[in-house]
Amino acid sequence: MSKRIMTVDDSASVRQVVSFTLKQAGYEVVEAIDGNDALSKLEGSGIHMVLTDLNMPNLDGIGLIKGVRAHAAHRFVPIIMLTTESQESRKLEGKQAGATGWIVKPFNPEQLVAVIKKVLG
Amino acid sequence: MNDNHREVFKEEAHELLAELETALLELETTPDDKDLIGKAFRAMHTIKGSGAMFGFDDVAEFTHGIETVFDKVRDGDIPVTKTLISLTLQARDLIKMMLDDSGGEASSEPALQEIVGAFRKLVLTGGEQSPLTLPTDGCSSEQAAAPLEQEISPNARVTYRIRLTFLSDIFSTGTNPLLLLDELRTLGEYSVTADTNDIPYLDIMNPERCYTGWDVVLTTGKGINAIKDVFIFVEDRCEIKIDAIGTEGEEDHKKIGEILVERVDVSQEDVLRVLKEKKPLGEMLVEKGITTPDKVDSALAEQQHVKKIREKAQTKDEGISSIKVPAEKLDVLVNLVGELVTVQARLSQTASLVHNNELGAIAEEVERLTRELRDNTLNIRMVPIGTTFGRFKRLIRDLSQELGKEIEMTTEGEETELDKTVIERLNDPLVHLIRNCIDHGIETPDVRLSLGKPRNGTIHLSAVRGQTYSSG
Repeated sequence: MSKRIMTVDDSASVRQVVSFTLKQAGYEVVEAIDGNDALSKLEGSGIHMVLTDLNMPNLDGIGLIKGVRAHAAHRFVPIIMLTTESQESRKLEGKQAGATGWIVKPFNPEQLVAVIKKVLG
Repeated sequence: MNDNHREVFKEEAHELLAELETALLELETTPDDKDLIGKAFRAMHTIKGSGAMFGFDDVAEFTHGIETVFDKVRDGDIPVTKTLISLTLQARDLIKMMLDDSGGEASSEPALQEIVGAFRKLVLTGGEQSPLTLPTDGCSSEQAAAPLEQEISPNARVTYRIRLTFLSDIFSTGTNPLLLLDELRTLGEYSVTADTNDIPYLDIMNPERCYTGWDVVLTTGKGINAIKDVFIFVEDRCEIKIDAIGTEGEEDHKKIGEILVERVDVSQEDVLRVLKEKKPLGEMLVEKGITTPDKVDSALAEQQHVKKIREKAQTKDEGISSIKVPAEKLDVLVNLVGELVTVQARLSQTASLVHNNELGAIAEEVERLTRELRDNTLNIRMVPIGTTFGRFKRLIRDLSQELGKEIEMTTEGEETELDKTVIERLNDPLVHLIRNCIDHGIETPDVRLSLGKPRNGTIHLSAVRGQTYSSG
């Protein structure tokens, strides 16, 4: 059974590229446009991992990480943050909130898949 | 002295010269390596001794002069400098020329005199140049924790002892420590022991907490940074202790007590005290509550791992040094096996027509044996490409000096095996590619720096099953 990953980003183009890359690598993908959308889709989604941007409207990435960690059925799900070089303090905030790892933008498809394999096995 | 003996000596001398060249090139990066100095000295000593015995007097005399200098290097009177290495490499080339061209007669007297003079000067000045030193780019505490790293060449396989202790809430970050261990396993040969000593009784155990630690012994050629990369997401959520315990095959065989003391699991005094009781040490240490069974098991696992790696390395060394058959004999063998395969096919076909069970069984057995014989024979012709790579190291060194460029050669997959003929035929195209890389692909250090590139260019030679490529 292929593993299911939720990609959360307010940018449609980033979601598209990430989804395409993940599907090419054999994963199932669930898309969400911000933290709130992601949390609402969490229940019963059966996802194995969350891949989230940090800066998003409504509920940002840090809020989403805290929300997932407080969610009874999904609190041990690995969460990867998509960060930029200039977001060092936000990355730290994300780690403290319970993120599993991170990938720095811009990244190429191989790097993304390598990080996912590192965390999902 | 008959010609056959002289030929055998020449063959042996060529091997020794190849060893000498490798040792000298390695000495450039590890000038304090006493083993390498010893290896270079021994190569010259044998060439001198055997040369005189087989009538190569000039070779013996010339080599004797250089051997004397290396004796002083061995005693620490003369340091290993770039000048010394360059001169010795030139001397090595001259010896090779003397052996190849004129059966040991000095054919290029001026060149010999020039080198002898340069060596003499070197001895008088006690080494003229400042000794080669290893690059030190701010030794961090982590490097200090693994002192061997500084002495190890980049391609060497090293055995590391890794102790992992995760924060007990590691699961709450979505991290699965077992996946990290799996990733570590992909780096090389690996033994792992779990330290389960902190796991509490079931009634008070919190299943969402991590109580287990792991001791890993890993032999890898990928370096300590590759190990650290595995833990990049958890470096602030776990304690990782990495110690290099030896290069592959060179690891000391240690007793259980020594391993436990090195790991700071027990003290030296405890070991000495318990040893007096003449029982297995591990058993006694556990009985007396000095350490836990897991820690003893882990030390035993390390001992076994090192034993296995040493045995493997020895087998590998013996394997390479024991094959010495003229190529023509192998070709004859391959041809004979080819003919045998054809005859065997005819036998199988005939047997299938005759409908005789006994003949059928014999034909099947012959078919199986022939197949094994064919595979094994073809395998004999397979040799690792590493020797060919070694030759290019010298080419790159000489060309880069000539052109004023700074080039580092890195290699990968030296153990990849190819048919001997294929390796021989690859030599010229590879030389051409490497020359092109140096001529056109790598700029002089000043130009590279102005383009924002590192001062040193790199030529990486990689051999993998299915392809060989070179890039600048």
